[in-house]
Formats: sequence, C-alpha cells, structure tokens
Amino acid sequence: MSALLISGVGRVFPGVRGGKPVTALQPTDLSVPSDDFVTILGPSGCGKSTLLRIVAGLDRPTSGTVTLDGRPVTGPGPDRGMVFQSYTLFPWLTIEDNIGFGLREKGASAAEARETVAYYVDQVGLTGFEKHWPKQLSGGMQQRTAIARALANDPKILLLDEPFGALDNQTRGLMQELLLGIWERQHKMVLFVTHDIEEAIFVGSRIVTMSARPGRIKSIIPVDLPHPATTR
Amino acid sequence: MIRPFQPVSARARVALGLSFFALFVAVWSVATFGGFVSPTFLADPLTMLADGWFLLSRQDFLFDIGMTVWRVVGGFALAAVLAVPIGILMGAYKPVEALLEPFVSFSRYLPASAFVPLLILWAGIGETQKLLVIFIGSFFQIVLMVAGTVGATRQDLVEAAYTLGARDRGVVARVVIPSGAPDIAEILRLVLGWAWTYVIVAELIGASSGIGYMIINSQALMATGQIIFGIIVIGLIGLVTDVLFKAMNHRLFAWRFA
Repeated sequence: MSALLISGVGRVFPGVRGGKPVTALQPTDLSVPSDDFVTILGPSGCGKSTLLRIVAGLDRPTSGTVTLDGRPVTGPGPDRGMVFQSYTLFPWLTIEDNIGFGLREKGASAAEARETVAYYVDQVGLTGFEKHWPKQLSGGMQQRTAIARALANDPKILLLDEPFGALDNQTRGLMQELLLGIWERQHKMVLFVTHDIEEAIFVGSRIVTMSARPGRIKSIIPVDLPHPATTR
Repeated sequence: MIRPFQPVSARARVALGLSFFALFVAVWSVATFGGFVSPTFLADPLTMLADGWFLLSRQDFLFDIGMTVWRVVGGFALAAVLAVPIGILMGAYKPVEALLEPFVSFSRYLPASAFVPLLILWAGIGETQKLLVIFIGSFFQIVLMVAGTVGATRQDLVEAAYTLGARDRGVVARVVIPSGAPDIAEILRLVLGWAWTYVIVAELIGASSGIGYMIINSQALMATGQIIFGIIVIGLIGLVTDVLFKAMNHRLFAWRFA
C-alpha cells in the first residue's frame, strides 16, 4: 500500500535585498493514501505550488519531511511524475521520443519502450502525431503529451501543477475527463494543484484548500459526489 | 506595398539579393569607368576580372586559396573542438564558470593580431603560427558564447528531465546539449566569419602563400585589381560557407524550423 506522507513541511524564502524572510508555506501535514485523487486549491501565493515542488523534490523544505512509501524524498525522481503548467516538452524530440524520455533514461529495452509509448499515445488520443514536433501541436495536445510522458515512467504518484491553466475552457473540460479516465484505469495517487474551484471539485476525491500569507492548509474536504464525476 | 514582417516569395528573395550585388557593381563601374576615381587607387571591374584571371592562370592562385582555406578551417576546427566542451562545462557547472570565466573574459579582449609577432618568435613563420593566430582569435570567443548559451538553458526543461528520472550526466547529455546545439552551431558560423579576418592578418606578416600574402604582394605592385579580386574571393568563400552552414542547421535542427 503506497502512501505519501507530508509532515511538518514548511518553506521560508530568504529576504530579498535586506527584506524580511517570506514564509511561503507554514509547517504543513498531509497524508495521501494510495488511489487518492487529491486537489490542492488556493489563490496565488498560498504555497500550493511550493508544496507540490517540494513533493517533487525540485525544492527543499526548510522544515519537515516528505516520505513516499516510507522513503524520504531528497530530490526529484521517476517515482513522482510531474506535469508543469508551462509547456515543458523537449522541443527537439518528437512526441513519441518525449513520451519515451524517462524509459530511455531508465534503460528500458527498445521493444519495451516502443510498446509503452504506443500504449500511452493511444491513452491520450495522439495517434497519428507520434512523429510531430511539440511546436506543431496545440497547447492541449502538448499537455496530453506531458501527462503521457509522466505516466510512461509508471510513477507511484502523479503531480500536476495547474496543468490546464493555460488552456481554453472547452479544452480544459476535455482534459479533465481524459485525466479522470486514465486515473480510473490506473488508480495512481494524484496531487493536482489548481486555483479553479470547479476544477478542484470535478477532478478530486478530496480537496485541500489553502490560504495565502502565510501559506497554510485551511481545510480538507472530501467530495461528496460520485467520483469520478461523470456529468458536468 | 511593403508591410512589416510580411514574407517575400523565394523568387523575389533571390532577385532582390542579386539586384543589390548588381547595384554595387554598377556604382563601382560608374566611379571607375566614369573617371571619378583614379585607376591607381581603385581598379575597375574589368581590370579586376583580368587580374583575377592572371592570378588563377599564371600565379597558381588556387593554391593560395587552398592554403588559406586550410588554415582557417584547421585553426577554427582546433579551437571549436576544445572550446565547445569547455563552454558547455562552464555553462552547466557553476564552479567551472567561476574558475574560468574571469580569465576567458580577459583573454577574449587580447587582440589575436597583436600576438602575431610573439607567435612568430615562438612558432616561426610556418603553418603552426598561422593556425595559432586563428586559434587564439576563435577559442576564447567560442568558449564564452557557448557558456552563455548553455547557461541560458530553460530550467523548466531541466526540472522536467529530473522528474523523469534523469541523473546529472543525463541532463547534460540529453537536455543541455540538444537544447543548446542550434545556438552553438550559430556561434560557430559567426566565429568562422571572424576567423577569416585573423587568417588574412596572419598572412600579411611572414607568409609565403595564401590570399593575404597575395594581397600584401599586390600592394607593392599597386595592383589594386588583384587586391580587390582577393577580397572578393574571400567574400564568395564566406558566402558559400554561410549557405552550407545554414543548410546543415536546417537539416540537423529541423525541430527549430518546423
């Protein structure tokens, strides 16, 4: 049974030009059991992205620890897949090579990588675009590739930092359903950061609300709707 | 109507490009054939061509061209092979940058041409000296510019690679280098152009072959037609190299131009 345990994690940024240090995140506790789809909801500046980056290992907490399956997080790793708000596909790699990036890094055999990549290309509906460069794709398609790239590594947890923030409303709705569909089939832990209340309720089975200055968790609310929600 | 950023057709592009060369030759012809400039100081286009033919057919000028090209390419390749990896290390690893950056920045301002007398003392007047002038002129520039490009690698791509399980060396090999490669190629194209300046300087002093040697000889003979022919040959070689470089970049880095 895998689980993510965040205990006493806080982040203070040093003061800029002699200013006071800024507390981005007060010491925070949160546990995410396996299979759970948790959304972290809050206004900008509430430390939700900081918390996600700490879980990803891209930022270090000034206090507290994060453990995944009992192993402390000390840096980024393939067990925690991340999807960023900005488009972070490697522009020099085709869609299929982007999705296969982690597999190659892991040393998977060519046949195995090909099979996994083909599976995820299909899962995110990008069949026919395998040989395209990222810049030839729309924003929604790029984020679908980014999700596939993270999932192809078979991470224990998927971390999403406002992944659909830059997309138009219609595309965003489709992407949310796509993500939920994948989650239903794979049942991974998901930590999904957003500032959109509707999105938080629609995709999450639990909502962690945060407030700003200083960033802290305000409440943890289970979503009392059949999950995943099927109608909007 | 010309409007900002509107593209032109391929035919119009070629026609416009050629027409400026035509204008250049026309102005030159008017100035020389019209008697506005004394032939002692500036040869007319026809004299230039005749002098060029004389050089090629009688003076074995092709050998001089070959010597110069070999010096440029040799010195430049030597500089690039050493400078690009050092630049990548400097850009990616901050302690290496802290160690080398001040010295390289200092060395970059040392004019390669000022080293010519020293290099003659150290390396004689043979090929080594010519290659060294070009090497000194190119090496530090390439190091600094490559370091700058690599230092500007998109950090979100680096972070994405780490979350996909890449280790430090993987990040350098599979993110930093491919993302910087098109700009590094562009830097090499630019510096190769500068290398042509250095080779001529190197050949003006203490050489017995090469385009620069021919030019300094022609000065003594007041053969301005030959000098201009030599300069135009350099320009043409530069133009051809540029076109080849660009075509190669389009092939190698198709993702940039897709």
